[in-house]
Amino acid sequence: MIRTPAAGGASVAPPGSLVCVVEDDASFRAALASLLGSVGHKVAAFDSAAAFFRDAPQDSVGCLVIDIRLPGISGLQFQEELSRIGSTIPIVFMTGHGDVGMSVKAMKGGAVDFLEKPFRDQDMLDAVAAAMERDRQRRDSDRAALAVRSAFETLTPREKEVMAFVTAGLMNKQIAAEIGLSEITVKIHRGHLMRKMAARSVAELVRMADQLDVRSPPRNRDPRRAIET
Amino acid sequence: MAPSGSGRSEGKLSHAEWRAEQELRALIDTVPAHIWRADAVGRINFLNQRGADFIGRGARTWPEIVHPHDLFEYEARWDKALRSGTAFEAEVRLLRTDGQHRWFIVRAAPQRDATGQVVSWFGINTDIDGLKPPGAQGERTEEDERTVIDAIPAHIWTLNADGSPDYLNRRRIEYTGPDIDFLAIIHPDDRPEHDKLWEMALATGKSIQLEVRLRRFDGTYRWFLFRAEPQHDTNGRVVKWFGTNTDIDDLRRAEVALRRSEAYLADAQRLSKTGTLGWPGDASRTFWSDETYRILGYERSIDPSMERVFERIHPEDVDGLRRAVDRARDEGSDMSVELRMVATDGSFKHLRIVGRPMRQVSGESEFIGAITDITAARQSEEALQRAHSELAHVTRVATLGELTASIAHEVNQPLAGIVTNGEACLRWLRRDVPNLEEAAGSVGRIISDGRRAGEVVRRLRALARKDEPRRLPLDINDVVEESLPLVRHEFSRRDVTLELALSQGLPLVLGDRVQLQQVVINLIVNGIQAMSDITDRPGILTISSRVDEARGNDVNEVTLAVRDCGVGVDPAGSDRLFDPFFTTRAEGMGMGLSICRSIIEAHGGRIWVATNGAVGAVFLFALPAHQGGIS
Repeated sequence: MIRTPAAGGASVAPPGSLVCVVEDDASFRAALASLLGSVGHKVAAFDSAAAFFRDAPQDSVGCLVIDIRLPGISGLQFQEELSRIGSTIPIVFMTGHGDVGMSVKAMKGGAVDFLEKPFRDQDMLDAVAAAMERDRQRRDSDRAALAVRSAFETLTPREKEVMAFVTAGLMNKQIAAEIGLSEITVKIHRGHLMRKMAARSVAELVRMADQLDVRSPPRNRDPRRAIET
Repeated sequence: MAPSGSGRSEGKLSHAEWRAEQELRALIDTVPAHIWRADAVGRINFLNQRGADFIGRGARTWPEIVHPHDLFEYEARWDKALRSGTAFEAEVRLLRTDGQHRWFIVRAAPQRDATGQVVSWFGINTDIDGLKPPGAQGERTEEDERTVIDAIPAHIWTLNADGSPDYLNRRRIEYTGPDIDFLAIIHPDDRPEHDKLWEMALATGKSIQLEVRLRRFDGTYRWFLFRAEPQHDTNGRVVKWFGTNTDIDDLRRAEVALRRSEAYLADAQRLSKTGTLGWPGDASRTFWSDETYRILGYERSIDPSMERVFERIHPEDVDGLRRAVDRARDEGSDMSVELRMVATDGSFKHLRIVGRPMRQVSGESEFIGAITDITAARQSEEALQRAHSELAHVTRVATLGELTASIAHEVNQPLAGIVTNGEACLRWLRRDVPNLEEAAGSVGRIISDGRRAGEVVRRLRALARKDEPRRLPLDINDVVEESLPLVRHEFSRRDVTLELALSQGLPLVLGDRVQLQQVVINLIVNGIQAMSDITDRPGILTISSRVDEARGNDVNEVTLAVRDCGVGVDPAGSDRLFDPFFTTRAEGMGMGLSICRSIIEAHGGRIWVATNGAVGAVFLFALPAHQGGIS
């Protein structure tokens, strides 16, 4: 890993604060690092994909600026590799000369931008800013999702069951019939889970359920069973 | 002999003695015979008046006055008499002052001193003409003569004055068989000439000679020298013809063969523009063939000499030729030099002179040489080289065309660097507190990027330029390193990894940098393209260099190998790979490997292909190491 002086201590950089440059041309690598450093980005620069995977403090990386043609592994393979390991780091691609096919692939793979060398400095800075913003949003939404998940884990099995029926759109009375409880008991479970999930409305709870992939159990359509209970 | 006039004795004589001598002299001068005296060795020192009147005065020798037919016999008898000191007698024809011959009996006897030593000879010539029958042959028996005549390896014959046959010797009869009609055995083609001459001879009574073919008993014709000599009577009329036919067939054949051989040689010399020259120790006997005269531009009439050769040689090449000739003579070794000649019209010719010192049978050393006009060969050689270098240039430019994407990338990269560095620099400077250190770093990179772009352009121009090839000592590793920037992008474009295994400390090779780069680029691009359809394994191109130790008298070789793991080559077609217009690619011109081969061979090297283990191919070329210097 190559750091510009302006990058400061990348190893202690807070999550999402580091711009990583992967570029095999040493001079251009230094130029880009310097440019990004000049507007206050923390920058870490690498000469190959392998060096990036080996040395980059993954959690600190806020965005990637890479040349689409790298020795050993191409920019597109790099992108595939990142998505394979579940990384969602936003990528800004650079290319020596326009290649429509490659840029389409890159954008479909989730690239933030695709810049042809030589580019205007402001275009690059804008692209990096956009990528950093996307990363920040991603981190925010990741954080929110994590909160919902941990809240869900505090629910009792009965509460989870009730939540599934609620988010499936059943009335309390119907739920009571489905699970063989009194309507008043269902109402109490429902109140508890709404509080635990910090859901202000059923609509919000439905969004959370979608996020958590909570499915309602199959409805009991056997009339005999309904009579028995 | 010097027959003199009347002798005059010396010393004082008495009157009586003088009278007696006068009488004796009168007697001697009046006797109807030639009276003479000769010294001990036969030189006549006195001749009487009649003798002097017949023979004439002045210095005349026996061979001048004795008839040629009688001379041999006459001299033999004289010789015998002189040696034995006994009396001598011969019948000979003597020439009179009016040109007529007359028969004489010549008799001589020796006079001895007191000790018995012969001191002089006294002789008398008696005119017997008229007594002697014409054609008398002296004392020889006819049989003796026939034996002699038959022993002579020639046809001998006599004809009567009218041309009718008189006598034929045995060889003449043996030659023709029983058919003895001379006219019948003359080759029909030679008849007209013979008949014409013979008619003339009969009419004029003069001797003739000509070469004719005569038919042998077995039907074959052989060449003969035919001679006929008339015998005249005292009135000058021809009484007989004496003749000989001498077999000259072998001689003539040899002569024809020699003439033909000389004609062939002259034609061959003319055709091959090669003249010969011989330069013996005795410079006055210097020899030039016709073609040598022609090449050097001298008239056939001038005397050949080595100096005249030197006169024609270009002044800058004269010393070289002299040294070569001297060395060849000193060491007895062959010489061969190529040099320029300035023709009389000022134009240049290229000559090759080869020579070899030879020791003749006489022991004298001679320099034998050949001089060849190689101007045409040299010109076509130069034209071929020019064509080759132009073709190399054209294919080089074509290759650059194929590499446009790589080259554009290679130029664009430093340009992008310059722009970005410049923009970064401005941003560092425009800060509230300008960061000069960062700005300086950016400017430094701008400069090096600018140089880099310039270098790429310079190399491109070198490859695109049409220069005369120049051979300089160079390191093949440098050639590889300098070629890589132009193809680097091809590697990433085709997902091929480059591995370099260049040996350090290689001997230098003598070569044209641009042409060798062309070869390396060609082999690299070929290797990359061979791997473009490979998906089951990573594409790796390995370039390695090494030095191969010399075997025997060879020099060390530097070998460069470009190894791919692509589709490989068909072993059956691997020879054709280097042929012009052989290509396996739709867009290929098929000149690449052919040009590589002609470039490498022009450098004295060789190029070949082998399979790279299980997959791919390896192209190798080897160049002779340059004598002198390790890189």
